[in-house]
Amino acid sequence: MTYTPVIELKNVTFKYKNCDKFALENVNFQVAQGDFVLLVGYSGSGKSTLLKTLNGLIPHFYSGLFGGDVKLFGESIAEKKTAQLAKTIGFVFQNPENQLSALTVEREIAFPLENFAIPRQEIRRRVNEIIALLDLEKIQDKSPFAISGGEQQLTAIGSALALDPPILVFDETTSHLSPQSATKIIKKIAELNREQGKTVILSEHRLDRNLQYVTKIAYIESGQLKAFGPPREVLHNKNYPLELYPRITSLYEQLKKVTDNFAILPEKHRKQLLAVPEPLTIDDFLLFIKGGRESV
Amino acid sequence: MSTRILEYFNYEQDKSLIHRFDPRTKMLFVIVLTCYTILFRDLVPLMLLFAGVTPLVLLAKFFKKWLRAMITVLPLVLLIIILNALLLKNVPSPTTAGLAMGFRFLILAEVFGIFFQTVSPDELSQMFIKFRFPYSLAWAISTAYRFIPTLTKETAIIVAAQKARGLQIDRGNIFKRLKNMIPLLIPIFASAFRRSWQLAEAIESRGWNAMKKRTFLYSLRLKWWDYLTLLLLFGLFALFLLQVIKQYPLPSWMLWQLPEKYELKSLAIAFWSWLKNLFQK
Repeated sequence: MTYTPVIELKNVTFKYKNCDKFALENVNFQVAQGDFVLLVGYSGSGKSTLLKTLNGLIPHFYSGLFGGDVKLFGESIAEKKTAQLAKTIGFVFQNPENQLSALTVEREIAFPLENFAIPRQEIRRRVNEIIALLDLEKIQDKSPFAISGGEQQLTAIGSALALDPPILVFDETTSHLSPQSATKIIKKIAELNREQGKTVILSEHRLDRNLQYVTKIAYIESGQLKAFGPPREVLHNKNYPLELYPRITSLYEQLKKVTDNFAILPEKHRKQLLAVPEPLTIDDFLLFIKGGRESV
Repeated sequence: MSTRILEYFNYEQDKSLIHRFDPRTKMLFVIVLTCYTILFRDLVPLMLLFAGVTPLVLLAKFFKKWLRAMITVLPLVLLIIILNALLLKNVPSPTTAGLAMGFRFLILAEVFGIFFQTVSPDELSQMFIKFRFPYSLAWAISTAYRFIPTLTKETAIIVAAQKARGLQIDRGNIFKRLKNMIPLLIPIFASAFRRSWQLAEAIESRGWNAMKKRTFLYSLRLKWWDYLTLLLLFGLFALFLLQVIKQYPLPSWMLWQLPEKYELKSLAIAFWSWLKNLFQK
């Protein structure tokens, strides 16, 4: 048996109409079953464009110059319509308000199932399943415009999950949300990845919340894939910019967890570490590790 | 004034008796009532019709709103009556005909008001689906309605932002004010377009029109009271058709008209001569 990657991009190139720069230039990569890929890059680097090639929004929805081939489960999607691919790939967008249209949360989740003419009993069963999975019971009869951003995004995820696609794509899904809701959403996504074996591709500006779950990082810069691989490998790549490292806060949190659990630091230092508020810079951090700062 | 009229046609989420009827029943009600309103030209039957429909306003629980709207359009109704009374020719009593026109307007306003007050945009779109209209049309209706709050909120933000940058919206004459609206309209339209584009992408990604036929989690169902009312309405419609074809003469009490001396024209003439007398003395 030969190995077929779930997603395979071959020399994917795209240039928007009326734009002289290429949005994507010869992008090649393969994603395996069950991978959690984090797509990192600055604004305008081509993250969204890359994701939109995965379900045919590009080139079917945007006019421009398209080259290369996208394969899902070994099959090229060039001839397929975006709507047809909804069973294979679930897409969740950035703005929670602009992707919902139904009267209630429940009906929003039912929408893709209705599109595929699934019988009513089956829709009901599937909708109930998803509502239970994402803990949406309290808001299932509410309007998608009367709930919080985090709940809206959960609704959108529920709707993308309705057809049970093996691949889930998240285009900066958490960027409109508060840090708390964002953390909650990322946890849910990680759960879907681990427990249901969904292959996940998620694009983000920052790594803090996701780093602990991801299996691969793809770093994209002005339309070119500069680095792709396991997190440790990519973060050590010389092409990878320092600004896109996880913030020190997150390092600190992780360190704190370690000191709590294993007590690897001497008693004195551990106490110091936990007594001092979050360090702002690395120097700051080193200073009180060394014990230079008694208390604040 | 305009907002009050818009408000009058805005759906009210209430659980009144009328709300429980199927929108298709209410649609037929609107059609039949409109037919009858156009059929009658005389004051008495139209007044009876008006008296018959008004209790439904009470049943639909929007009497206050209705009263407010009626007061708002009162000048228009008066204008209809006065113009008809003064300008109509070739009728035995122009004032009676004018009053009949006024009542016609009121009945239509009532009937359409009841429909839009008690049929939610969702029911409206489901009704279109049941009538075999294309699903995209039904979807567009309900989505347009659903986006009103979002767009209103965004408009308020844009207005505030432009005001903060020194835009004076309510200064100067009407032309200047219209010109001042341009810095508002451009971002509002741009954002509406962006929203609709993103929504299009989102529904496309979830299988929009993937199959020729589609199913629905919920759809409309006629209840026994709907069947009963529909039967009644169809009966009324048959009567209407019969009257249109056979042209039976109405009983004489229905053809009652204002006496000559109460005609608006003669009243005006009398008033004029009274005024003249007053000043001649």
